[in-house]
Amino acid sequence: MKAYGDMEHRDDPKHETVDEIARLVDAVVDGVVTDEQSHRLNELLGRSVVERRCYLRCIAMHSALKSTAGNQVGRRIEELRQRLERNRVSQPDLYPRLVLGRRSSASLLRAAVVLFVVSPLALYVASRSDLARDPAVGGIVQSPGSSRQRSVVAADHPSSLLDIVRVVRISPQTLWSHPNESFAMDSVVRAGSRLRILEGEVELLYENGVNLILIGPVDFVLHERGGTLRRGGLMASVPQAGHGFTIDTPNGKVVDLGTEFGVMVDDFGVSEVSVFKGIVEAFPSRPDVARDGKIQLSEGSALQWNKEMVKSLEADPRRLPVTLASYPRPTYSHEAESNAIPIVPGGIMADSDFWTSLGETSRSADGVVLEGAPVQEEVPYLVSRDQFDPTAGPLTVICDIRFPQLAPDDVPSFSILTRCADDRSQMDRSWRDILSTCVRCNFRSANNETDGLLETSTKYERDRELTSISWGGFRRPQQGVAYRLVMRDDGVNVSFAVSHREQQLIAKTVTCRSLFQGYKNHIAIEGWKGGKVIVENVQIHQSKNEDLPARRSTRFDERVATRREAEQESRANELSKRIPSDAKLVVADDFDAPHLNQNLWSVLGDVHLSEGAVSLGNERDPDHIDTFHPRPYLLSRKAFAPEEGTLFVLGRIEFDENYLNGYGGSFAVMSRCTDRYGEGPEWAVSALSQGIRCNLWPAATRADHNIEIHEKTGPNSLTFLRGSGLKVDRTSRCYFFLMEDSGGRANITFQNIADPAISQTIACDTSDAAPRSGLIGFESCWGSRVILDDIQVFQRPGNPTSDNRTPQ
Amino acid sequence: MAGDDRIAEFVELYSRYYPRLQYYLMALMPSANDAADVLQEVSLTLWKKFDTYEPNTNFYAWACKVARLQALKHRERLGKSARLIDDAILECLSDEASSDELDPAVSLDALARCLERLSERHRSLIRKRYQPGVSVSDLAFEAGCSANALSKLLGKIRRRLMDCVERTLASEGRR
Repeated sequence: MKAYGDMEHRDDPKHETVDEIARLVDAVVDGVVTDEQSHRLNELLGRSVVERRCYLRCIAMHSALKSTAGNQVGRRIEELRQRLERNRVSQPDLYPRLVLGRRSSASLLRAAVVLFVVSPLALYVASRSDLARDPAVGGIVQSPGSSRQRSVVAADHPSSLLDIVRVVRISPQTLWSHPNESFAMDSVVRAGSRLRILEGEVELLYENGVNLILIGPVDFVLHERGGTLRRGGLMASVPQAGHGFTIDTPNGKVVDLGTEFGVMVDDFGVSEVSVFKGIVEAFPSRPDVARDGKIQLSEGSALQWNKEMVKSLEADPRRLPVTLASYPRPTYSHEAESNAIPIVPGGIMADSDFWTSLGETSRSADGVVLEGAPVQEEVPYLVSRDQFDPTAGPLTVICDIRFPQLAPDDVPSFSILTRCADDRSQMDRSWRDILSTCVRCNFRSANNETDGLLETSTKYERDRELTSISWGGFRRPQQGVAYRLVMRDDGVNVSFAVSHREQQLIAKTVTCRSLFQGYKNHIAIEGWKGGKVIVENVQIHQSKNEDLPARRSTRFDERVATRREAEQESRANELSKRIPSDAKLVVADDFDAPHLNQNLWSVLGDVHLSEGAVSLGNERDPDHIDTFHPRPYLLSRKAFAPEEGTLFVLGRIEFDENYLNGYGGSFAVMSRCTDRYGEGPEWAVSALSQGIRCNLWPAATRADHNIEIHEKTGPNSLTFLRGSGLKVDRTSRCYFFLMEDSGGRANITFQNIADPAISQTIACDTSDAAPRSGLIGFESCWGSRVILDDIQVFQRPGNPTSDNRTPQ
Repeated sequence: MAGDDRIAEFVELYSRYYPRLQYYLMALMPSANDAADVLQEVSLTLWKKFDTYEPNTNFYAWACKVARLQALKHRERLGKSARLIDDAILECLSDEASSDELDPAVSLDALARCLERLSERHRSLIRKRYQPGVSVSDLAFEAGCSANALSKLLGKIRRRLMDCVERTLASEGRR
């Protein structure tokens, strides 16, 4: 028995035929086949068993992908089997009656078999709209609102089988708020279910294709066509069939119109929606926002609102919960932050280059003293001179403090502030001396009580008081006790932990979400106005993004990347239009064959086939791009004399990811070349000894890419003929090229595949000393490979040489 | 009435040959969801007719006969214009696909490993593509490109997978 990869060599059809059949089968299976393609497929399949075997091999791949990648049939069978097993206890014949319209009196084993076998049929029946409308199978209904949502109704749980939502991913770190309410992978979530997670991510897939990622901490109640986000964040990707998908928040709702969006609800009554594709409608619970209370948001925009304000923002992917969830979870151990960059090591915390003071601060042998001024009622601050945006990387601030003297009726307090301004509110209010905007984590004594409080607050505007959440349940700050306070802010989630400095494992920790985007992003530490606090040590760490685990690409990124790649894949080389119709195709290779065609090509250096293309060179140390090492070449076996007919060399390239590092990568197409390296000084030794060389030199050290034409007339010579710039598009590494050589004149065009408007052509005469004929070659440089594909060489009959020369 | 042993045998055979039956039906009806639809009908018919199956004979060949008839019925329902493959070719394909020449199940493990070697984005795209009920035009709409363009990209990834599977099987001496 053979796998689908097996093909007897004696039966092998031509490579072109294999490729054509594969493409036709793809078109059929993907539902994009044209009548013409359909006829062509029949024609090929009618030829012989060889072509049909090739067809079957492609079909086997699709079938295997259905089983392996899709992996849905087995899961669905199992899901339905489990559900019906449950029903079987009370209604053993429910399923046969639903599907077959008759009762079954089989044994339990037989029932299990029936369920196993017939489950797919039930899905089939449920998915057939004609049967769904058939009263003879009355248990099958069509869900309102979508022709694609049809389900089997179970007698005992009418809603349970509607709009099936499945848990399709649970991140490894996921921590459920209540383990007894947790959901397992692949389990079905029913409408009304509440999902509460403290940490991690849970991904849900609705039957209509809506994909929802819940980001912990989160509190979410699932509805048939959406849900209520009580707290936390989510990301939704809604296909066409899911239009109308609705997320309710405590103070409004968001309705999808076919899109991709994120919703966050913080702990201070603020909701935020960010749109990354398509359009959504936000309905803040405020009658004044629009006549119908609706605000339409398009791609790239965001809206934040609470009961008092509505604020338009730009959608910022850095604030995406999906992005944030990729960050390490809050932690308070110094060791765990060892990868972060300590901005302020403990010993220099009073460094005036780093801090500025507001109020009374001084140095002592133990540290810095923040001393309140009871008369002026002025809270003392140390405020960082620099700003630290937590969305650029999570910030951690560690403070070791002591209250040296406390009277029984004192109300000691200490705060760490993030996303804060560097000036006071200065309003005639009790909070006048608090910084004008901030997210504030406060440890203090409850007024005139023996209890302590932890409080997290957000101050949105200068003229608005703090919005706060408090937690009690521990002792008020004690005189002389050394405390360690740790605040961590990732731009949305803020955690705050207080412990005795010597017993950090026993910490009181609170977390909150604040969607407040600081107008300024200073860090500050705050004393209390009734007395002293000694700050013995401060450390500020920020995990740079490159230190974080690789950011998982958002679905937005994924979508854009897929679109670009699909467009590039399907884009024909427009440069081919420049080739005269009477030019003859003399070499063509798409490199999809299993081996490099030795009849067409020879190689110098590291050149090999790679995933349907040619790799000129190998992956190397990203920073080491050496131009003195011999360069890898793909060379035509056949020599061509452009004097006998103008040559047109067409193809596409993709530079490696490191192509702008070091000295920069390089690609050249050559005509009239030899298969021997040059001699002599510098880089000429690494290139072929002769030929016309058309080079794209990426802009590692320059503003533009360079396009150049060189002439090598001997092993120790190199003549620069013409050069020009090509605009850099750092999002694209793929180019089409067309080289034209008429014997006396050469020109080269490079065109950015992603943006065809970025294109450059240069042309020049070649000298009489240049070789008259030779091979066609393709070159990269050592240290940065180039992927080469879809090579076509045309030659136009006739003698173009003298005619095409620029008049002297 | 079949005994419990007989039923257990059916379960075992049916689950073992499920991937090959899927492949067989896709060979006859490659477009979109035709094969998936008919496979459900086939599973029921096989169960109904299992009494006619002779133990220890070729279950796959027997099931293919049933599947072929169901496929032909499905073609009748579709009408002539919707039939992609000519009748005569269909008969040839039916014979050739029901032989033991190709078995996609042999390659499933290798394919799973090759899927892991794809970039995360390509793997995710392939997985989405083969979810039940997901069409290429749905995915293209989501990505903001044409279905044709996306199909070509998918084709490139599939060929990469085929190469990988072939290399993997060759290295394991399974071809």
